[in-house]
Amino acid sequence: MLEVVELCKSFGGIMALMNVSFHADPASLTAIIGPNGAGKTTLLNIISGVYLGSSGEVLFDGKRITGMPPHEVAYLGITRTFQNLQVFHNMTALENVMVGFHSCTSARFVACLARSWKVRREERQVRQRAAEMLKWVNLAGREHQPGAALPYGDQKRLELARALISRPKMILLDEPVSGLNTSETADMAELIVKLKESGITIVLVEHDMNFVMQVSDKIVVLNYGEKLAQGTPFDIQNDDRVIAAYLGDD
Amino acid sequence: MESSDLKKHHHLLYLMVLALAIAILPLFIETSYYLLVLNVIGLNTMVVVGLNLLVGYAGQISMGHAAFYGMGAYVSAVLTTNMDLCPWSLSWFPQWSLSWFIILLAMLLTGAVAYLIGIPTLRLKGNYLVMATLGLNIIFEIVLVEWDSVTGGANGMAGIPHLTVGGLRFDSDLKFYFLIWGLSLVALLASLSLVDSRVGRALRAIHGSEVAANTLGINTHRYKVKVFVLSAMFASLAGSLYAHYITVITPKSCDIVYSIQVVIMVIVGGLGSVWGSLFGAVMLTLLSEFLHIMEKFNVVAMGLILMVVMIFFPEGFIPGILHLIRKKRSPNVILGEELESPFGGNTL
Amino acid sequence: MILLDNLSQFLFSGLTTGSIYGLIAIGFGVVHNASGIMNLLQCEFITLGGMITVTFYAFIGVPLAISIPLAITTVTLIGALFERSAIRTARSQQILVLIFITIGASISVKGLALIIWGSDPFVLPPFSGNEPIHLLKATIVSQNLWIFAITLFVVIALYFFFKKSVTGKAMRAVSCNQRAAALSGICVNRMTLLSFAMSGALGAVAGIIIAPITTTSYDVGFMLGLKGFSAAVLGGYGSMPGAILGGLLLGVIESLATGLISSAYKNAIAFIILLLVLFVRPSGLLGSPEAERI
Repeated sequence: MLEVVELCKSFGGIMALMNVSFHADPASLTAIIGPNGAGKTTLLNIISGVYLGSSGEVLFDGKRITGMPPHEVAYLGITRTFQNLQVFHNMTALENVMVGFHSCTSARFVACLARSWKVRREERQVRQRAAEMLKWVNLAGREHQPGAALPYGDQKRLELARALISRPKMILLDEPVSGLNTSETADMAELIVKLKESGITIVLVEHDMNFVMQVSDKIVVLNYGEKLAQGTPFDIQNDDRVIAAYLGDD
Repeated sequence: MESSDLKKHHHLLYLMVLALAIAILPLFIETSYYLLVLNVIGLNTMVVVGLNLLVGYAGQISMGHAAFYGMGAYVSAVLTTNMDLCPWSLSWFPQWSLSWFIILLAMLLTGAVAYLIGIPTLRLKGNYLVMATLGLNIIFEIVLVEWDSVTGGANGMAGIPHLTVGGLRFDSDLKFYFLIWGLSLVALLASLSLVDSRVGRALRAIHGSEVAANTLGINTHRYKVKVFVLSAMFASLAGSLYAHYITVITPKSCDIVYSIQVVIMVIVGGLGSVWGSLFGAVMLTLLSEFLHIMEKFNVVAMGLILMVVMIFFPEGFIPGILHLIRKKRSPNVILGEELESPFGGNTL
Repeated sequence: MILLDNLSQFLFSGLTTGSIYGLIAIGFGVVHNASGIMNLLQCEFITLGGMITVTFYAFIGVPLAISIPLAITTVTLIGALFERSAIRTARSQQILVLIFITIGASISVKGLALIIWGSDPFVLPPFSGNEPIHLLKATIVSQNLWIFAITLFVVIALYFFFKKSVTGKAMRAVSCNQRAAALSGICVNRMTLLSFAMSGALGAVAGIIIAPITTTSYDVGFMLGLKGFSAAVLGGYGSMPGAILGGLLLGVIESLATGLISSAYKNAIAFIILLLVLFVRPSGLLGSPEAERI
């Protein structure tokens, strides 16, 4: 499904990623973990096209997506959420989710100006689907609240709904449970497991180890931009190098 | 779901009320001066509605929209006063239709110019976008003054013909009143349709968070350029109409001051509010007419308004006031909430 | 060779205006570095510098040597006052909101200047003598030398201020990372205040030293200020060596193009250069492209 091959990224001489390679199987959940500054978010940013990698490549369904702008990556079926929330504060919750359906709809600029019959029909469908999506992430009844007025945990789920409405093949989650309390984390974990069962490939970055061990099929550990280890949650828990990286080696 | 559909019905209702008010207003107006003021308001509304799509909805900024207004005005003026230059004037179209074709041509030309300029300019952010558009406006002004063989230089051009449709000549304030306001209503309706659609949401998303919009499949740069072109064409239309209405045009009517003035109208009326654009145009045009007697104070007042509104109501004057009233009515809102400016955008 | 004679003349006059652009560009850069704001009131600092000096000197009768420091002080205070009253009290600290505030202030001050001083231009006497000096086949007046000397002095003073003094270092820290600077005990607000005051002083100096050559009027700052901004972008926005380089380069290009090609589009040149730089290399000659982080 997703294949990352010898990816490198430098920020003005500082290597954020060095020869990172891994792959994610279809309908699996891959977690990327590592101490702060290990390059996890950078990795997601390169996969989603937000950053340009310095070298190496990313393949999706066998197709090279390195260097594609984010909107083209989205059209291939990869969407994402953000670590520091990027909810559209100038729109309602429902509208936020409706934006997520952009790549699946086709109303053109001039047609929208004239509000043609086709535009109206499409609009109704999008609205209905967005409402269903909100229900799925347990935000029913919040449709018309401004996105920014929702509590933090709800905003996280709103971003999830926004990323899911277009039925992506793969979703990238950047710290989906950071800042959530225990019960919210459990809810999120439940949603994510449901997602995986529905056949969506998931790649996520997270610090919460309980959560990661509970939901992942495979874990990739990054440290100072390099891949330190990879394997099942069990392997990783018993890997000396990983323990050393997290706790210090002396 | 219903509430949003309801909102749309409200918009239609408001538009109809507005249309009715426009239709009967001339009955109560005796002096043509007031009609002139109303016409100027109508022209400004057209420009401001378009500009608000760019500034208020898409979160971009242009300090050079007067240049597009000027392009419309000058293309119309130059071509209609030199009709003999037109190769197509002998075609089977009636003579009167030419001016209308020229207005369309001016809009297309302005749109093309905006497109070419927009591609590099709209890759810029904040500070630079302000200066790039400001610079464009200044260059345009200089060209108007220096290229006097065509544009008449600093004196501008006179004798621009009135518009006609068949035997109907738009030669009085009242006739122009209906033309201008009819088109303004169309502009309002089109904008209202646009903002509440796939494209409108895409524009607002760019404003809210450009990265997020981009990763959801929105080609942010292309949308910015498109809305820039659209707003330039609105301004061009208003400019052409102005030229045919007043029949005189000078570089002064499309200088930086006008660019700033329309931005102030957007800001006073409310960023990201189609109806606000109308209110902004009405309030600022009236104020500016009122201050006309003390011309020197006009500029000072404009600057002060811009400054004070931005300091105290970063979301725009009218939305700010409405916000205050609502807050008074229901005091149980969260205290100390962060004031979101429509320029917001989650900081990256 | 008439052309060659003229060339050195153009070069000198270009370097003179270029120095002015450089000073203004530094003013823009100082505020930008401290707060990220593009301060368009900078334009009016230039006007005010010249006009207040004229007021003290010609209307009140204060000697020039005292009028000038008085005017600089006044404009510096105006800059600080503007920051303290308008910028800091703004309810939203979004960059574009703040830019609009500076634009509004700029328009108002320009309008007030028209009301106070009218639209006639005023002239200041040269700082010393009026005899032309012949240098490299060019004729220059002593005021040109004053401009070079003062610009050089200001640049050196600023260099030591930013490199050696604690306050200067603190200002640089703020421009690198506002939050980190605040956490290490630097009062960011005070640095922003100081930057506005400094840009006021720089604008005033520029407006005063050019006045004996080009006269000064209520709207002199508009074009000079925007051209100073173009110079700042050309050199690399926010970089001090860039500001000087951009200023001098812009001054020379403008002067050469005006002299050798045509003077009709003199005022357009700076903006055409501005647009070219923004389109081709927004980081300017000496600036480094910023890496965006998410």
